[in-house]
Amino acid sequence: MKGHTGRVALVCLLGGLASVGPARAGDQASIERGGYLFAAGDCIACHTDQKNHGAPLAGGPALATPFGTFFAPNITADPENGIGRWSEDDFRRALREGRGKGGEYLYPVFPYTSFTGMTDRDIADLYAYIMAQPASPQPNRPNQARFPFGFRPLLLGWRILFFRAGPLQPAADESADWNRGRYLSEAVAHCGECHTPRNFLGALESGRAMAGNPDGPDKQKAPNVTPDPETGLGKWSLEDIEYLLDTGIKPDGDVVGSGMADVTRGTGKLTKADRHAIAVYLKSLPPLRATGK
Amino acid sequence: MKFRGRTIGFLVAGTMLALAGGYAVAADTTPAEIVKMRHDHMKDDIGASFKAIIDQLKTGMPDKKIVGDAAAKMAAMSRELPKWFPKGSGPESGVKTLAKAEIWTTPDDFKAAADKLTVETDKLVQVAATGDVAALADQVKATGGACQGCHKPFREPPPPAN
Repeated sequence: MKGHTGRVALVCLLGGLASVGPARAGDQASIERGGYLFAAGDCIACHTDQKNHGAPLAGGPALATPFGTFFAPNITADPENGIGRWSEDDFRRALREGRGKGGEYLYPVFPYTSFTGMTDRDIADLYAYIMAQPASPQPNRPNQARFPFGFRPLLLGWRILFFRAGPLQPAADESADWNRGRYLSEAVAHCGECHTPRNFLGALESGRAMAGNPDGPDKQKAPNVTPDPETGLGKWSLEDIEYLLDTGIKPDGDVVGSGMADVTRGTGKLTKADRHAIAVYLKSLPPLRATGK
Repeated sequence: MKFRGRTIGFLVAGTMLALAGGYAVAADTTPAEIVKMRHDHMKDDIGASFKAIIDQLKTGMPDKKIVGDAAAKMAAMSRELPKWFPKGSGPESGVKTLAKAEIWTTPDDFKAAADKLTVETDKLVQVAATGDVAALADQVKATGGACQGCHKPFREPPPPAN
């Protein structure tokens, strides 16, 4: 009997440890991995109003699109205005399926079309990181979707036409670098969301992947990053691309100054190996002439 | 010591050149000429110097003299940079320019961003003289950050053709 009580006590103790002690240690590693993905994905750029010194992740500046003006919401752990009540499953559903906590369809201005490619583990790590950041009660600003896009159920049609849920499956016949580069470029860093042109319904034109977008977010022009020698990165070495991702400095001594300045602040935190992988992947793309207008 | 003399020489020469440029601006110069002048400065002086440093860095064995000279030129030019943006040479002039109106509507922010380039390029000059490649790489990155710190808020993104 005594032995039994002891075992129960031990089990209780272990149970308690599992939910506090060792779990915390596990969380810490997860949070760190999540922070890395967070930098690669440049979540800050849309979800923080940096220009007005807004609280981190408490909601972004206006993002003008042909379908209206959108405000990336508060994604801090605040239970009222943030995602504090979201479980990891809720979070995964948003990234993997583009659906909110209530199951509603999210606007693809949130690039779930790319994030869907992420692995479950990476999504869990990202969730751990975001939940570990300071909460802010900042209220969300309502989106100003153009008619008729304010009616979310319409997004179902768009999804049927343009959305394929992930995760991204590695290509067995390609190198580890290439696969890692594709994963980072296509899923986590969602490069195509700016660098691939969109059709009249705002979906990425997969046949013109990374060929540049003259109508990027906030009317910024995103250049061709395929290896086309005239209008793309054809004359750039792998090292040139890696250096740009590290520093934001182009081979001609100029710097990227628009949205890409934020992106390179994130990619500058990646490992050299990961920047190399992205460069390898970009150089492997079919060279396409820049998307003109 | 020899190096320091050269640096000062560059600073003086750069300042004099830029002053000469400054006087030209003060005279009857059209906005189009001003835009071309600053574009040339940005590209041929600051950009080309920075490229020279980066090219050296990418060799893995940067030449101290090339890097030091280029850094000194950038530091000198950074002090002149605000003068390349006289009132009336922005987008309202009708001349095609990537300079944003915010340069003149938030002059203190613009000045602070320009000063930051001076701070970082002065450090670049110092680091270049030490021959420490890792420190140089870090300082080049910091300098690039200073470029971005001004280009992001104050320059329209250039056309996408690379």
